[in-house]
Amino acid sequence: MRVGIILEGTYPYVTGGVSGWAQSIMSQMKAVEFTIIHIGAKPEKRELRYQIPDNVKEIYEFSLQSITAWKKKKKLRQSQQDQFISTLSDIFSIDRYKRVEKLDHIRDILFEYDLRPILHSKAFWDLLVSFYRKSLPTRSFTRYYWNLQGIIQPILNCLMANVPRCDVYHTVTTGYAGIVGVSASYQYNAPLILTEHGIYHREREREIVAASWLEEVYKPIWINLFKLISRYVYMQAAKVTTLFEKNQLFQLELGCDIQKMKIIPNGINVERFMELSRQDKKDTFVVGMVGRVVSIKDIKMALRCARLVKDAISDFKLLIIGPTEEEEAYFKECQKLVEVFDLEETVHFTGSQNVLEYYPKMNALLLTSVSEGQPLVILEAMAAGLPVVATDVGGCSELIFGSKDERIGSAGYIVPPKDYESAAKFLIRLYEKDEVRFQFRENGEKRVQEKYLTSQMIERYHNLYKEVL
Amino acid sequence: MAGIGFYIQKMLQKDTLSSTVVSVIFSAIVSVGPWLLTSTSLVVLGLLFPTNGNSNYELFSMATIYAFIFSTLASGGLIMVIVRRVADLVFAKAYHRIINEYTGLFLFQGVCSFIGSFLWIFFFGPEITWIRLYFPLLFTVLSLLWSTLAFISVLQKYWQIIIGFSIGSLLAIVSPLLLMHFEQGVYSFFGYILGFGFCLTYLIFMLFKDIPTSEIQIAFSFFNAFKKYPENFFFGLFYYGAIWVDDIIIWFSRFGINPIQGFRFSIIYDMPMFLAYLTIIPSLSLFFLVVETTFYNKYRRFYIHIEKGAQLKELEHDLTDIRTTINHQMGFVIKIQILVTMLLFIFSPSLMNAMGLPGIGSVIFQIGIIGALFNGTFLMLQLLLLYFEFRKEVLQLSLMVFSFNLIGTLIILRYYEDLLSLSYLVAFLVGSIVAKYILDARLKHLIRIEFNRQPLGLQKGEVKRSHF
Repeated sequence: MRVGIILEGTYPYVTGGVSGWAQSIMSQMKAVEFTIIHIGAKPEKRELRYQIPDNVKEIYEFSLQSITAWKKKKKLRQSQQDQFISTLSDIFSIDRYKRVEKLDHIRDILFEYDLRPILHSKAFWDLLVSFYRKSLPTRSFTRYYWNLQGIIQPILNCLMANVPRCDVYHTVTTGYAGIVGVSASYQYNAPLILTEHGIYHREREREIVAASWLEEVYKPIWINLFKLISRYVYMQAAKVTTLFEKNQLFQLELGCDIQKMKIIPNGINVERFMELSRQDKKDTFVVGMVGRVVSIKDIKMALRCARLVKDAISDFKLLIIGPTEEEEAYFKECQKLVEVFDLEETVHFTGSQNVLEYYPKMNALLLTSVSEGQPLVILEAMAAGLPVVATDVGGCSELIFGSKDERIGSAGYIVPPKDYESAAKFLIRLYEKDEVRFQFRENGEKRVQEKYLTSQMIERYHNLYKEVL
Repeated sequence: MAGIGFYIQKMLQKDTLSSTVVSVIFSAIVSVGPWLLTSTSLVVLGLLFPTNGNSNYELFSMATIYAFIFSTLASGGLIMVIVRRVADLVFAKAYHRIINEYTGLFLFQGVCSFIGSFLWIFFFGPEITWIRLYFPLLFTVLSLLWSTLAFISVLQKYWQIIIGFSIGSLLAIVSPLLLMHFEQGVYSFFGYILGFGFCLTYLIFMLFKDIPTSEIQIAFSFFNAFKKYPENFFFGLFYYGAIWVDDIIIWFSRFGINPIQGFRFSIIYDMPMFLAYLTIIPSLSLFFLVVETTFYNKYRRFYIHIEKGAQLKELEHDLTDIRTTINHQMGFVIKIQILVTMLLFIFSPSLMNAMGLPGIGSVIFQIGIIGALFNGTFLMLQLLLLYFEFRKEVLQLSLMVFSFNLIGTLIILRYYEDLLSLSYLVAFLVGSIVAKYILDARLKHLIRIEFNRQPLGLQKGEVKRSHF
């Protein structure tokens, strides 16, 4: 069996959650051959960040923001051009929930034919102009045109890409990778699986809303575009999986069929963590944070929290374990805050370290991120017997409280993002109540062993591949 | 988090706009200039030179005409490319490269022109020593002059060009006459070369004077421009070809004479036609005037609005303005030209009588001036098309007119001998109609065409496949 795994801007050139997941799936599913389809942003030379597993047979890559000399596809007839234009025109005028069905009517045109000539046709131009007149008649036409080109070119590249034939395609996001997945699945009549770690259109929405360089009037267009793509990928995928329940709500919201939805959580290799010694003493109460020192991890919240905890527990230490180079300015701000709060003796930035050496020294794990998927660090901490205090983002609460159908108790506390006072309160409670700490430890260990093993994850994906074929 | 996100293409400045404008204006100068000089200097010399019974004068005159016609034909394509290339270099502020490339071109063209024309006269011309020297020298000087003119005109040295050409032409006419007084022999004709040689030297001096250059190098990188603007080369070639092809065919017909080996001529056809060419000078000058003032402002506003990001309404308004201006101004210029043509038409029998070309000469002239009217119209339309960078269309039109004139002349020689210059008229008439049709059709959709042909500013990408 050959699985084409489609990744946008991540593996094998960028490290992180999705890349680590991809590496672990491919390297441990020996019975399956993989083709990596990597979609980059711009044409550039990059270093591989992972050792490519032996069962990866090919890496196919192209970039979105480029002019690529694609192989010619079939030439459209005039009637098909007309159909394409009239469908596009309808899509803009109908209810957004029905757009995706309209889009599906022209999927043969989208995936089999060369769309480039259409884009220079008078009919297409008239469509652009009519949309402009209707929606943005007072805005700069030039900017409008380039906004559209910004939308069209990457999509065009995805549609023109002639990816290698595989038995199953597995895309890790909707978006551009999703388009490539749907297109390949259509062309080779092979099933498509979608696994969302984060919810792509929501992440893009957050970025777009925050983008100061993008005129406000164009923001809804971009946001709706990414939603339309997500909707279409949900519609075309044979199976849609995600890491935790909460994500499924967003998928359902965009019309994903509940029948094809499935949760496959991430897994870890628990033995390495289970065999570590446990810290029962609390002479020095040691709380650890594991992750990159970057703004998305909201280290500043952790420092504010540390100040409050320090006021209550005189012998308290906060270890921040992770690389500091990625956002140097942010790291400097954090160091400044340490000084301001007079926490030089309390907070330690260790840099990148082998966490296995640190878990045995720790009493609890703190996670203050403003955005997460399903953080492996919580799973590791639970396997290492640590209670966790985490913000309510991504799949954190499900990891700590368990899913609805589960009987194992809590493995820590959840606080709203930015709420350092609650985080401090819970850390102090963990310090004060040994029995709570030990109970959380027990629950965490149990939950990881029951649900979050790498072997389980691999088996689930393997079964999924077999199921869709 | 996974995903690249989104991306917006930033508008690229249409930085070639200004260079396009300059190159078009000077394409005009270099397309009109040479045949203007040919016609005037020949007509004036013909009137002033004591020609009766002087066979050397006939030889001189024919060699001179040949040098003019064939130097424009041989360098026409090259010049159209150079004009565009130098305009690009000027706007890239790469002045040192202009000088280096000029030096390279000067050597290349100089050597090729001299060797080529010498071989031609040696093998096909008369076995007369002075003419074997005179023809290649004049041919080379003129060829170099046309390309130097192309360089210097893009640098906008209008006055230097006018001064250089005025003094040069005057010297070319006066010096053989003066030399005749001191030396009755054939070498007085070399005074003619002296005139244009002066003009060439003056322009080269002016070119080198204003461009700072610490160290001149010889560069042949202008050859790259042929790859970038191949249409310009063929446009130049076919446009000059279209003007001269009827003359050349007629030299070989029964209307042609071959007084001396290698040189053919047709007094009955050439003289009226040279005169006819001159009749469009007033209207073409007027055209340049209105293009430079009214049209250019509207044209510029349109592109500035695109660059600065105006509303579609404004762009459409600008475009309507451009189209109306073109129609009005061209209409005005053509009306003036029609007036000139009508006057000359009425007086043509007496004019031709005065020149000793009665009868058929008068008919050729009458048809010729109407043809010249369309030649002028065609040239105006071509220049307008070039303003909007429709180079492919310009090339196709030139090729069409060239073919029409070529085939038409052959047909006329066979069936309608009394209407000799009709093919020239018909070719440029059809050319003008088609050119106007194309211009209108393109301008109607100019906004779409401009946006569609904007470079996206994206890097070249490739599909990379690694197998393990």
